[in-house]
Amino acid sequence: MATTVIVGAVGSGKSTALTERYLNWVRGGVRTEQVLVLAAGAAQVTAWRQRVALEAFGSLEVFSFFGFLQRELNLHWGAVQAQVAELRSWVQPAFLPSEVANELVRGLVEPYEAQFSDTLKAKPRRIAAQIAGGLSTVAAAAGLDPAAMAERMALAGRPDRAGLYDSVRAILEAHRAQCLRAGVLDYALSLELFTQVLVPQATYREHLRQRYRYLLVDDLDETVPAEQDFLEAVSRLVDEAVFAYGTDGGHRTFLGADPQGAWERFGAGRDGMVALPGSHTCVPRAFAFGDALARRIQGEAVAERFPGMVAEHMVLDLRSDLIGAVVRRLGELLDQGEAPGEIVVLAPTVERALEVTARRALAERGVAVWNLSPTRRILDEPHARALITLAGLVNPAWGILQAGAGALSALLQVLAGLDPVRAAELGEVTAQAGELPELPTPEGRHLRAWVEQARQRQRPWEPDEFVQTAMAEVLAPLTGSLSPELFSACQQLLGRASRFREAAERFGPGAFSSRYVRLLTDGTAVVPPSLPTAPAVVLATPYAYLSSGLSSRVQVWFDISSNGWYPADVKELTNPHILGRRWPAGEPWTDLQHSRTRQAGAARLVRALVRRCIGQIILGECNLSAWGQEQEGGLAEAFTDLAGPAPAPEGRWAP
Amino acid sequence: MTFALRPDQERVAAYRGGYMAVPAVPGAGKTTVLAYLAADLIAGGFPAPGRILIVTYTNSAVGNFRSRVGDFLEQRGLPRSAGYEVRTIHSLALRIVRERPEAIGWADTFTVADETTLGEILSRLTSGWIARNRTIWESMVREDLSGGFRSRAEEQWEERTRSLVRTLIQTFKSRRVSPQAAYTLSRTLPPDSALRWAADIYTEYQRELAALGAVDFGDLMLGAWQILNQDAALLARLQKRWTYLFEDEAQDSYRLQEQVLRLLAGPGGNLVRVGDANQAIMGTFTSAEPDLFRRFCEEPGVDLCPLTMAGRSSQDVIDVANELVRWTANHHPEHDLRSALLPQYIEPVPPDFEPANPRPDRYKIATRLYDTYNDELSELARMAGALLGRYPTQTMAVLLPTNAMVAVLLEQLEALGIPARTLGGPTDPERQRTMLDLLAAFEFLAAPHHADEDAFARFARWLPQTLLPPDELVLTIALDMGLAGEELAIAHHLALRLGLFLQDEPGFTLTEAAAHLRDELQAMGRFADTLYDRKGFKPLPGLVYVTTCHAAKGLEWDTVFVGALTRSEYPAMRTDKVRSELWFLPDDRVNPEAVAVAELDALLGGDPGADPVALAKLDVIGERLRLLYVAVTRARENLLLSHHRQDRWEKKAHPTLPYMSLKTFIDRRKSQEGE
Repeated sequence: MATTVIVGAVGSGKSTALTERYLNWVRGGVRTEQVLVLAAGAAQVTAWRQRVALEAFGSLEVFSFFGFLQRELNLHWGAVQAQVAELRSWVQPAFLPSEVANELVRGLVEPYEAQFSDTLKAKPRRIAAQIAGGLSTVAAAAGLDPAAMAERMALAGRPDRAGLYDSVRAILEAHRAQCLRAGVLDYALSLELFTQVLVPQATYREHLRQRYRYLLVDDLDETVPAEQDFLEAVSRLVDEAVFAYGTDGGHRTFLGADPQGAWERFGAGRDGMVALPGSHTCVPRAFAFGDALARRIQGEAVAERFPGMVAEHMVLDLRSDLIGAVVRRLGELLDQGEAPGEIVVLAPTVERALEVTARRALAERGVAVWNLSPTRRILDEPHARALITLAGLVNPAWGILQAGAGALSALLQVLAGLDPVRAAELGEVTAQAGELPELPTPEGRHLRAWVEQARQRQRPWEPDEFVQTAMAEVLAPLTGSLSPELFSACQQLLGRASRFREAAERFGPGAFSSRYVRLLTDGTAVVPPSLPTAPAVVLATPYAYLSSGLSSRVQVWFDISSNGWYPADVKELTNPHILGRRWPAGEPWTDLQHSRTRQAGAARLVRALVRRCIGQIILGECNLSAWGQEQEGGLAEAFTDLAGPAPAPEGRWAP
Repeated sequence: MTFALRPDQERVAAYRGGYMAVPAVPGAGKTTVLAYLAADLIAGGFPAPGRILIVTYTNSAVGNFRSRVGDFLEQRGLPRSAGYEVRTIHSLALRIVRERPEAIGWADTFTVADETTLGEILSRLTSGWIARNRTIWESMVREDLSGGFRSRAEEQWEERTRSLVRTLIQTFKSRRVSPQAAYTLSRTLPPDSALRWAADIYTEYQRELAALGAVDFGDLMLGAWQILNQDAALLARLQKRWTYLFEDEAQDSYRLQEQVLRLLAGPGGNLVRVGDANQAIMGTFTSAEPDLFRRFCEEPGVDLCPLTMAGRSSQDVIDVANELVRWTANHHPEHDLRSALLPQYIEPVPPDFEPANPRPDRYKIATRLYDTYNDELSELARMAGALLGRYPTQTMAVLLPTNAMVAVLLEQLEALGIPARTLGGPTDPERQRTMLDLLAAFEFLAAPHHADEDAFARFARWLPQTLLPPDELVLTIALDMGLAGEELAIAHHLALRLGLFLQDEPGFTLTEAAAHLRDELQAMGRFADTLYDRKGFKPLPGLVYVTTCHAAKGLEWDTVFVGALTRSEYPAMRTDKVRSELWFLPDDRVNPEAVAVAELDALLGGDPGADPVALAKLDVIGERLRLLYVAVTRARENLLLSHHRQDRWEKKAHPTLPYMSLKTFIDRRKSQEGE
């Protein structure tokens, strides 16, 4: 029943303290399966597992909250089915991947498109993603059903949109109904079934009580209200609960995280609080600087000045020139002996231009770029694209081959080993004939024979089956071993195809009709970052960097006059703050709240970033955005105010 | 160097707050005095903690203002960029919307659609509408036309219907009429009302744009107005940010734009509007309403501080400009047009003030008559070339009424090997070079088997890169070419646009990307202009600027040729033909836009006037008079006015009436000079 909250900033040692508790218990004879550890996300779960793996034997009960509830719903499916009749025809639940959820909702949005486009200026794909992702997720995190969500959103200053939100409600209810019928759970339904069906059952609570003696929660500041309900319930069932609360966290408000709610519920004014001062990932003066910067961003008058805190502040007119200057600076840092992995370039949006320029310049020094916020799409990998084109060639009914000669030319370069000129010529011939001509290379002859055979197959190809077969029979013989990028892209492609098939089996093909092609060829799907194979400079958005748990000796803050440094979690359809539990019902959402929220978001981000820098901060500012618009985000001004326009002579912080 | 204020500028520079109107004659140095005033206010701490917002019309004007204010601040020992912002009106609207796009239902990723996209959507929707309503649409064409005339009429009518619909949709927006309201309102009109057609298309047009996550410029201004209106807290925040508002070229404001600026200034706020009603020449192109500025000047509580002195031109040029005003106000045979130019006369700068008016050693104003249109253009080209050789340090321009004439003259100059460039029209090819090079590379790489040897030599080095994603390929080629500065920025921007395009069209490869690049040329040209113009613009000696009179606004040259002063280009009488009137429509509908806008104003409770077609014709004629005034006042000391006797279709051409009066005036002065 004892609950301890460890409170501290980034780098104060909260996770280490939690880990020590864990290991002490284990060393004292507690079995690892008796300790439930909940961390904020996949990366944090992996880090936890790595930290305790050496000493802890037995199965580790380390999860993200969503991972945990998925496991529990699987394990206790019978108890859920007992109360939800619609689910009784399914032996096990299936979980709906977000991209499939988006496509399903997009289908439901279609009848309402005219209504949406009369009120919103947004692409249908974005609207569907906001309904399936943002609204549904955040409402569920706060325990709101679609009707309550629609009412709140309309009440908070958007009465003219009551009709619109009524349609959103209808879409979400239809989506929920189809998911129940299919026994497929998206995030919202999983959360609802777990918190409202499973957890309230006495037998399940008794099961939890017997199973766990200890509860450890890292990143309490990133938890959503529904999770906090659960933590409160479990902390009463276990012998001891220890939570770590980051005073500069709460970056996931866009997903419904409620750091203040967590603090009020578990921290404020309670016994059992352990405060960890300072930070190991920055020096005391930087610690104070981060605080001052955050206060300045939120409009407070800050008297203290921090000369020398910024090693260099580059100001250029054009963004492209700034990219050049930053990349040159990276080279100088490396020449001065800085380790690549100790340098991070932080940019509010990581665009191709920045990544490609840095990659090219650093490659000359044998240094790679590790992009934590990747921009490379699955279809940018020529082999993955060739597989898609091949799928279109073999299965014309899939309607993939809209790209014609260009795509076929690329296919012939990749899979038939033709030079670009010959490939272009024969690509054109193929596009006109609808089938491959005689090809002059051995690989080409193999490809042609394979396509003919694949086309003649009696049973229609399933997308994932096709991708897998083509990978094995066409791609593998060509490439020998797959490069990590190629492997990753093809894996992604295969994963998407498999997830589609699994969902289609449950929902029936009618739920998708021809939309599955979009799932395979979605232009927004990116290849997730893989670990670099060479020493690498890190490139990331602030959020991706903070989520990674990295800290660096040198942080280069790119494009600090961009408004992108002020997180915009309020969208045209979604407002996580209005859907939060502490939002006063009926209160209008005005510019006052909007500005405060954005400033608070930027302040949180900036404070946490400064505290992850143990060396120097270099700033890059450009007057014009990539769109040629003047920029005037307040961050540049705040830095100049506090740290001065020019760096101190030594230009570095003492480590 | 310290700047000495002229007596008329002193009053303006003494401004410290409230509403002020500054009607300024051409060449009065309004940029200078406004920049001086801005720096003075900033130095005095008046805008703090806010800033001065200067709104002007073109990117080059933004650059010019920024450079002047920066200079004045620097002279006072202050940072060059502290305490003020300069924006075009569209950049201001964008800035306001970007504060809270979600508040009006816009995705924060919204884009401003380029002309090609807008044109394609409108063209398709209009053609679809015509196909569905052919009988009504055809019934508008004069009944007496048949055979070849009728088919030509219908062909032109279809073309004009597109621009008509476009204008009317923008009119709905400038009057804040939503698609739903437009539809409902227009149902009371007869089926042959063009306003009713436009209302039908308006809804579909807005839906298509919305589904692309895009807006047009009309939406942008409307969106800014909506945001400011619906959120008092945001308005208050922006009022705190921009404590002073200066509007340049206020005579070109349109209704919604004026409303946005008034909202931002607020009652009791600080608003300075500078303009010249005699230079209001944008009404035919935009929804500009010159009367708005005239009314502002007369508004109670507005301090009126005219700038009447100008050091730009010689006394002789000033006399010609003043003569045009005098003749119009007192002798224009059409009485209704006597108010087209306000009786606001240019005075020379008093001695000892800078810049002093040029003092040529002789009378340097002339008129010329040529036999044909072609003769006139050839002779202008020849004369410009000759003068360029004789006065290599002087600046020179040929101002013509249409882009078509500009293109012909540019060709002739090129053939003669005379360096020339244009302004305001399509982007200068030099600025497009990066884009055209990248396009050529893409077209080669997409189909190398169809390429010629020259393309092979230029682009074959990138054949091994053809498997790169198109946006990455652009960046790779740019890096390989060693691009820098604006050229690199253009390549980066192109890669960004291509990347966004590929999100929507993931299946597209090099072939389609090359086609897309061609479609993007116009939008990229605008981006290039934004970049190149950001540092301001000043004509250079050593080349001939050939431009429309519209694009010459705000500029000056030592020598100016104003050509094609014929009645068809500069109609001056009700009996003259005007281009906005369509020959194939019945007399009472000859200007369908005017009829439709009058219908809309009537539906909105306004007074559209008795005969909208006649009123619209007077507006057009008045605007052409002002265009002539603008053209004449571009000259510092050499001015040549010319016309031709036979047009390019070999029909007889007559000089426009105001030219005739000016010719009489000039001839008299020349003969006096001779004496």
